[in-house]
Amino acid sequence: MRAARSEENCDWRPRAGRETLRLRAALKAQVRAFMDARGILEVDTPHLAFHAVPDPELSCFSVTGSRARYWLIPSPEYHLKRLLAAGYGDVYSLSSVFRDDEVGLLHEPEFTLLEYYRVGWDARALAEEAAGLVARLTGRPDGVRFIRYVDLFEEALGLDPLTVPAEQLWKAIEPERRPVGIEPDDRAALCDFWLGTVFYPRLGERETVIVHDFPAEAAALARLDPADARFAQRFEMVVGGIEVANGYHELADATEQALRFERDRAHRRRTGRPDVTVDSAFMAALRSGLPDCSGIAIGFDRVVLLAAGQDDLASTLAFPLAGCGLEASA
Amino acid sequence: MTTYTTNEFKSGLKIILDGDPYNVIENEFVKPGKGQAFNRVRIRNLKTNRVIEKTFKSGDTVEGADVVDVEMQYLYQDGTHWHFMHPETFEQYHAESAPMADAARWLKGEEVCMVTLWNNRPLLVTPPHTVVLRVTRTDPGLRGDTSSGGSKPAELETGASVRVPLFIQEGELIKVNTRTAEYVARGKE
Repeated sequence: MRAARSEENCDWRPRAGRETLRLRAALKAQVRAFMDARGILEVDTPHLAFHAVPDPELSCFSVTGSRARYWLIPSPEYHLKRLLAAGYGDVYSLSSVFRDDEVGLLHEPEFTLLEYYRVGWDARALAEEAAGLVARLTGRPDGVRFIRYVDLFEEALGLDPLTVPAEQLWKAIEPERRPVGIEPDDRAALCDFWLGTVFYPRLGERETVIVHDFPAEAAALARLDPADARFAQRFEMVVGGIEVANGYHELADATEQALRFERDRAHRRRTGRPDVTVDSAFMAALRSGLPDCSGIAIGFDRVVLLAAGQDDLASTLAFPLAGCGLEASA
Repeated sequence: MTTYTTNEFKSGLKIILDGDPYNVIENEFVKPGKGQAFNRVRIRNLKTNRVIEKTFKSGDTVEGADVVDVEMQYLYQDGTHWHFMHPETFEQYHAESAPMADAARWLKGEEVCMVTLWNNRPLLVTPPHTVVLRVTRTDPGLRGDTSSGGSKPAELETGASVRVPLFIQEGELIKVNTRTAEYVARGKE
């Protein structure tokens, strides 16, 4: 644990300058005007939840109360989908979310997420609308380029990441750059390595890039392509080398969702992550019927960072955790 | 043995990788959306001084390296080893030629050096930032000769070679920057 700091050594001043905070506030106002003009309803959803999420690579903070144990939400997705299932129509949330163990230049354990849903829309239409919003907020050009997930690999490596032996994805990495701790046959991790550390940093210099048709294994809460079940109708948005958003044509099949939860939980057990309980209210909402819809989560702090032309997420925040010796507390 | 997870990597941490000790310079957390997280780390090999970039699976653990920097006085060289003394404990340490690669040509005796110890054995010896040494050989240097940029080669008493201004003569003392191997000024005893 971090040693208590004496008052003299404590840097109490805000990290972001007033100009950046003014920009941040203006961008929030722009988001709200954009949503309002389209009839998308802002809702406040709880930050304390009774369940963590089973995502294989996500850790939630737990909070111990005197009556129960809670979890800080890593996204408002379950609550927003309960509103959608209840027939509230297009909704959005612009609020703090929390993810444990994520600290870095582009990561804060507490950050602001803009998450919104469009009833009756497909993923492409939502990706286009959201790309327009992000371009407007960041003051960048409007152009959007759509590229399929597998085509990123085909273009750069001449390999189809889903069909080649995983070792080829390993061998394609220069020997000294091969990641420590990853097995050469771990296809999912190798795909993430290429995507996150090689491809994304090079993308979106001039235009907004939408990487779409993720492999079914990385579907998360997206539905599979009805025409080709090897792919999920999931996309990510990359601007200036930074991943700013993740969207789905939402999975509405409760049975399929339950299967994915169990698969994710099994994965968590294998990789030594704590098990999680399934959110029964969310599952019941899905069973009662989620309208056909698409949803997207946009990292609002990263949008501010791009708009402000900075390269460190902490500098867009008045009081970032990362800047307060969080790294030193381990 | 102490181990560290990648999330504990911070500037200055000493770790062992492939049998060699490294100093962590920079650690960047990279996580694609919902996928596997990585730590992209810049590290310096303490044996070769070479900086490399390495990517770790986030949460992976590595062994810590027992590496400390201690200021010590250089005593003498016996043909195979360079001998140093800890100023407080008077304990003596000897370094083989590998840790001396950068330092040997600047030392004649009594200099205070930074000795990096790994498992209590010298891993790297860093000479003082500047040293004062005598010029043992240099051409007289012709006045007005600017073809060589106003400098000429000189050999120093330790065997090191540096370029010096034309007015420097054999037998003079000069001050040399050991990091750049460049002449700084005339030296004093």
